Amino acid sequence: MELEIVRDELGVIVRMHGRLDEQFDPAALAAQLSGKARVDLERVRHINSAGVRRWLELMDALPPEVTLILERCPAAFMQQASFIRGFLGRAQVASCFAPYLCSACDRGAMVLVERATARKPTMRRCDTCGGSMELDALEETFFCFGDEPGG
Amino acid sequence: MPSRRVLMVASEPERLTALIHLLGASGIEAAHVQTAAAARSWLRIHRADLGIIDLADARERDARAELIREQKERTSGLDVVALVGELDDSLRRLIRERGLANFVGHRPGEAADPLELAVTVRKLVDDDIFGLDKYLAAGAETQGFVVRSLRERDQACDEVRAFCSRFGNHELVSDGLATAADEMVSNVLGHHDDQREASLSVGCDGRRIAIATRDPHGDLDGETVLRCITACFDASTAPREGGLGLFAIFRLVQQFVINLEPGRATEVIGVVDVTRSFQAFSRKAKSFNLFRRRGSD
Repeated sequence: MELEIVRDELGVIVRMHGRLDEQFDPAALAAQLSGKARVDLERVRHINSAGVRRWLELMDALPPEVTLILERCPAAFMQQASFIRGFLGRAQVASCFAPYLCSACDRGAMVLVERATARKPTMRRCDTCGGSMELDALEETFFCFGDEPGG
Repeated sequence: MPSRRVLMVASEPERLTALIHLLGASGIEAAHVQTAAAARSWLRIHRADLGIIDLADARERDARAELIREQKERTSGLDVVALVGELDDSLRRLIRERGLANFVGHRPGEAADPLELAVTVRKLVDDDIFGLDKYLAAGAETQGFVVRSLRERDQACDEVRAFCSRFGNHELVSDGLATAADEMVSNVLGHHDDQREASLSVGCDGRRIAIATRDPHGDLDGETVLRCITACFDASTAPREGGLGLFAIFRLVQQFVINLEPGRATEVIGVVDVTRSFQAFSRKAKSFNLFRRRGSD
């Protein structure tokens, strides 16, 4: 797992690249987090149970003064959040990729969904045929966002 | 080969018609009764090699669960496959307290998959338990890997993901199967003093993708597996330490199969139907099978 520190218009963001597995070092990520910390997870591409344990260690050890905002979480990460109690700890998911399926051409796609609009009825069009796309997951369990933001 | 017979306890026999034909083609007779009381009467007179007992019918559920408890208490009692709609406390108790090792999930109002059930019955009746091929139609495309290290595991999982992507358009299912493969291989490689290797296979027949690992050690403990499986019923009880890998596999596949010959071989198999949407995959009832070679305990 590689960590990339980048700065955007909202401040510093940590981008994680690679596998969330036994080689993930929670201390290395924790060292980058302070105040309202943002982590971009889009490029995390494989999560196994050893990685889940490491992630839980990070959540357990998160200092109270850190507010962790998770951005662009992959669908596989959201699945873990719905499976594993405490997976999000005190972290808040700001946005995630969700599986959508075109009702016309049956094409599947991962769509970036913002927390604020996730549960609102939103028309999404298929890039291939223009048909209507629908969430291809159980909304009640998939959109598991953690603590309410604004803290 | 002497005639083999299965007793089915279910309220709607028409839902078992396809299974009865499939078993008949394998030389396995099927008898049917509708209630637990009728099953007891039948068993006083007849002999059966296996019972298929439907627990999804709410009216007969408690009586049939009691029938399973009775059979499991007897040394000569029936081996049982339960048909279940939900993973609930009643099923958890049958597994933990009575050692029920096989259940096949089906949605309320739908029949259990006859092919899945037929494979389960044949494996139990014939004691021929190993092989990924049993879960795929003839002519299925398969790929195999030998994995000896974490680096090889990661490469093999990427290959599994690429293989699965060719047969379905659900990225999450492909990701899930690659992760299940990772957990299966890690379970073979990890926490042992000796250098181990796992045989990883993946196959698809156009409808189902099945993945499997096999090793020649046979040191996975059946009782531990059953304890972990019941912990998987509810996400709030997900194990945070031991058993998290089994929990992950159970969550990521529709049918989770463990074949054990203690001291000789362990095979772990996961099966997913790739013809349906991810939402349908998420809603489908789970199946679990633990097969132990007879005389190997």
